[in-house]
Amino acid sequence: MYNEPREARVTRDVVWERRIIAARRRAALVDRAMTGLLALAALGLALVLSAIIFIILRAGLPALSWSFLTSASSITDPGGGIGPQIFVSIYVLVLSLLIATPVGVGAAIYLAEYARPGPATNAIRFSTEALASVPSVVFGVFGAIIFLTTMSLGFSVLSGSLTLALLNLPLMVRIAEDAIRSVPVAYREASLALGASRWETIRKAVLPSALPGIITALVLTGGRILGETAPLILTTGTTISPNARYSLNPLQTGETLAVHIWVLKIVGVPGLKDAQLVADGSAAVLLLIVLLINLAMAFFTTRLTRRLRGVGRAPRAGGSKKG
Amino acid sequence: MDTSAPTPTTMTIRAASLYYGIFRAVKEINLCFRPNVVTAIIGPSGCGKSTLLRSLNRINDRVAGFRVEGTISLGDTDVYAPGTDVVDLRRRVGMVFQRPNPFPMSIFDNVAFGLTLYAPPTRAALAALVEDALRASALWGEVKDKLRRPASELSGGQQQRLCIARAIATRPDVLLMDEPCSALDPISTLKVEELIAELKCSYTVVIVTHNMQQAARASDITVMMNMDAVDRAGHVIEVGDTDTIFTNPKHPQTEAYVSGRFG
Amino acid sequence: MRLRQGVLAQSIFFTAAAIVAISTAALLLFTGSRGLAVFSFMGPGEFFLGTSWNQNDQTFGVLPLLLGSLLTVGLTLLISGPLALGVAIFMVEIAPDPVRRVMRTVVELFAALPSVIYGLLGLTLVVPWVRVITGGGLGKGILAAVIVLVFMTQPTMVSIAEDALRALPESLREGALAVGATRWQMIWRVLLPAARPGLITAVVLGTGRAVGETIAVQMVIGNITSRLPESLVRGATTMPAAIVTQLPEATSPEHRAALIMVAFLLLLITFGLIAAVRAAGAIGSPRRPTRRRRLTPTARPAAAKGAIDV
Repeated sequence: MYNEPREARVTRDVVWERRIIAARRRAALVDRAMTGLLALAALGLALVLSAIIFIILRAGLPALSWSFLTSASSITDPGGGIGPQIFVSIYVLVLSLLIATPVGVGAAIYLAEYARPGPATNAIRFSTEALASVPSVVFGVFGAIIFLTTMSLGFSVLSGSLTLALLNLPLMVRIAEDAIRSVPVAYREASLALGASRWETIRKAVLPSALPGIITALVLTGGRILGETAPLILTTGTTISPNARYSLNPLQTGETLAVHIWVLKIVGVPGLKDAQLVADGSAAVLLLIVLLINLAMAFFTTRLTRRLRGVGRAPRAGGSKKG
Repeated sequence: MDTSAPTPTTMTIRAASLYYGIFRAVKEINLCFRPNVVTAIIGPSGCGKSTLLRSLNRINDRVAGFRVEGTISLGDTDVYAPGTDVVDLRRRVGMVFQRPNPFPMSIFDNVAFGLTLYAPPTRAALAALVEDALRASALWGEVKDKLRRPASELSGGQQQRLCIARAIATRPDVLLMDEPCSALDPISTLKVEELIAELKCSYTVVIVTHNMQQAARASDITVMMNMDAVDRAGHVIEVGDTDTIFTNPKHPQTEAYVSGRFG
Repeated sequence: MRLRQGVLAQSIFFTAAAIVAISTAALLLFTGSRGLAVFSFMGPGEFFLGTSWNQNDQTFGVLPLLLGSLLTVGLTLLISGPLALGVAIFMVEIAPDPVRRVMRTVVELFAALPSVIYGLLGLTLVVPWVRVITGGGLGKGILAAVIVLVFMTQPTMVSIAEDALRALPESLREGALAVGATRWQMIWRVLLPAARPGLITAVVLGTGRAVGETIAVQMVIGNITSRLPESLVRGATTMPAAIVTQLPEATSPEHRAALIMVAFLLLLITFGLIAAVRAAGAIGSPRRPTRRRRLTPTARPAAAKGAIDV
């Protein structure tokens, strides 16, 4: 049958051929329809994002002013600001990064440079993976048990920072480890060949070239900390004591900007007439910070990587075809 | 070169140049691939033979920046005309790739893939067509008892013959083979070569190969290509009967290449 | 001296790594032990099968929370799974490079938006809309939560699905096109089955995101714990929403233990999802035996990463 000339086959199968032509036309139609549908899905997603940004900024930008950003909030009179909330947000951010960075980067160095296959390494790997998938509210509950009750730190900036440090460890370990692993072997070998010890090699050759990745980890974590709400409600609390508004005492209760929005909209502040405006303003501030962080990330990571590594991207295997 | 009237299954290339962006990879090709003839394209690496082959069924359209000047036609269909139905073209011009690329599905489903895309035949007819294709690609005896097993369980040589079965199951007019044996061991290579010799009875076969013994063994016509020393574009050096090309080449470059002095 | 420094460095790094492992153990241990304490106040039947969660009369049946979560997450997946898959396919197979880059930024920004902003928008846009289409009521409920969650789960699902599709060798695509498949036939009949393990992972991790989302859901779902969810547009609750609503005010030990138990259940569910991801990987691997992997020219990201250690 494979030895027949094509013409003979065609005349014999003329009905079948006709069916095939119709089917092919249908398939072409389906192909075009699905292409359109998929493009529409993507376009829809992009439009929703633009709408989100537009709506938040349109509602919030009118509220923004220097005094809004710096003055104290009020629970009774309109015209209050978000100064203390911004202060607490930054305080929690810095404190939790201070706690998480040494542990996270240290663990990443251990996993990338020292760990040998075995039960201990498996346990560490499994726990980072497991910890990464735990919902943030569970960390909040854990923080409430451990830091508030067991260690009797109470609702405080310290409890919240410790909780968020824990929450962000897995992300930090993963990104930092990737960064350390992607340092070319040649760097290590060159350093070891010069007679440097393993630790010296890590400190002088590996860590500097992994720095862009580690900074990425810090920035990403920072962005998450600023937006985090649920675990903080359970650990730092939802109020700022009026007589300790800019206090550096880590045992004070605190309310970050994100939590403030939630309090204004959900818990409600009876009697405060401009609660909606303050919430919108706070949301705009939060959104601007997030956008800024992402822009900076996109800009700096490519810049830093190029400068510190001094190499472009490796060509992708299998991407293009040779002739 | 062939002067007989083109049949509907003759592929003709007239004054074709192939570009990647502004780089001209292949220049001024004039060739004719006739039915029931195996044409081998030989030449050193980078001479554009794969690009030329991959332009015949427009699979190279997937590479960003690729474009064609001149005409390539199948029968009287202009392959690169704006209105050409690429899907229909690819059904008429089957292709076997350098490395076996079976789909991650069963052996049966791999062969049936092309048959069930449009107006799938009845179950029984489908089974018969799959069997025919597997027999034609000399694989039936080896796989008839495990048609439902994943294709990935086959050896490399079997996988490549499976890919040939997949390509011929839809009964194309032209069969393109891009170094079909480069990833195979010698025994599998021999089987595929025997297969090629049988396939030419019903197809226009064009095969790109690195292996000169293979070209000598399996082809009737040989096209020798090389890269131009000045503009690095691949072009045709010589076309002729395989016997002539290998025993009595006209061009010094062909002679140097077939005698193994470069490439 | 140099040796001592090296040993010191190594032990410091090991301690750091150990802290991560110990934290996980502590998380499991403490939420587990404090949560299971609920059974010293009531029987497991009363807790797991109780249809009312009411702190005023100290009844803590977890079903309203569990069913609320189940409905919310299930409906979310029905919409967001296909949507994310579609967007990922668009990004890998259809979009030209500049469009793809724009879409990647879009997805990253969706991931970067804080929950509370999603919640705020849900409250000011989605809830009023639900109120209008149902002609009354508060508008808060599972439907509003689902709409918010559909967008919140996109980044996780799209990026993992995108990676899975991108990792497929180009030879599969060429093979399908060469037998005359249309692009959609290639996607539907070859690429999606081939990428199945990765796509399952995408959906499962998206599920994890939806199960654990707290604030955005809490702001739009109405937080009714005292009864089973009655309809999609009436007040309901989910497990995380109930925790964050009630734990700060929970004073009685029963109430606290019950809420911590809910957190422990959440923890178990997410660990279960990880196990599912691993199982999906295990199901996927025999389909890609070593022989084929050796033959395919496309570098897999994992393989590339591994190569650095050699």
